[in-house]
Amino acid sequence: MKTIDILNKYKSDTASKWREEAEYRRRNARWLRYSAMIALQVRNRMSQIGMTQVVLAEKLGCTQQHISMLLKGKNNLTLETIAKLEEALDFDIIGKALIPVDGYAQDVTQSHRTYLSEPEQAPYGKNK
Amino acid sequence: MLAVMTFEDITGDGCLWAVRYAGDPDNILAMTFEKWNDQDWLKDFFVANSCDLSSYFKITNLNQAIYDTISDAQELECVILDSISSDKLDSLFKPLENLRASEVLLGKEKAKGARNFRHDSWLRLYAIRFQRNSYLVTGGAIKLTHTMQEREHTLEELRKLEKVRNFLLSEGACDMDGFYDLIQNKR
Repeated sequence: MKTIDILNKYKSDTASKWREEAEYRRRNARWLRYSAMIALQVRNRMSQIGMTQVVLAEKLGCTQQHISMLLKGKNNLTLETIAKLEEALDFDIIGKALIPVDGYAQDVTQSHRTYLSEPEQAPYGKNK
Repeated sequence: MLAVMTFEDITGDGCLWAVRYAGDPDNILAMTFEKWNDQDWLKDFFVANSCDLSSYFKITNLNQAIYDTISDAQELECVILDSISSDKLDSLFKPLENLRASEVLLGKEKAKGARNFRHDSWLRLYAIRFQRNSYLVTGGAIKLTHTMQEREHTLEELRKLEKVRNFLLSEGACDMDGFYDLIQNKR
């Protein structure tokens, strides 16, 4: 008897979703890597300062299940979520990676600083 | 009587199959990649195997090990997808024993992840080759030691290979056409 016949004889009723999932992971490889890296950094920081998922969830105003999902490193995090994580954990995740335009403030994590000088912030046509 | 294992046709054309062991929620190929992308599971694994990680790979940072695994798993998954679409599974899988001199019926095979810029990949998939360019995946593991016999989790993969092979043989598997074809078209 051929092996292929045995495999077909004992073939599972459910269809495999691996290929579909693998294609998805390939199409989204870059941001999935970023998400994994962020989750690793957040885990590291949480253990560094002894913060639990429950406390982090409270600070972010979400559920502990949401934090648990986020820490799996598969979520497409918004900039808002990343910024909230940085604030709640008091550390930098992506801020330092954002290269500002030459001559402007370097520390984007400090909210009182701005990239634009006062005249530049004024609407066009004014202060001229 | 419930079957101890069933099989899932991964490619839909009979070239790549994966075992679904009784009681498991999915086939072993999907479950393996799921684990290799699960940071909780990876952390537990590398904590439990930190000695092997530092002695064989000189890595003491668990985060680096977790990240390398996720990254290598992505690469390996892409290689499998490409091998499927180009009918080159025979290039992906190699004999389990590095020194195997002759072809055997239902040979035990392995696929390795590609070397990353820091170290050789520790990811392994294990499979039974049943005819030219056709494989049945039996499991996968993170291999941190020189031999599979050294650790329980890799030893378990050897047992699974043997168990699946014996199951196929007990059902009367005998792909003589494929075997002759295999000998004549040596990889």
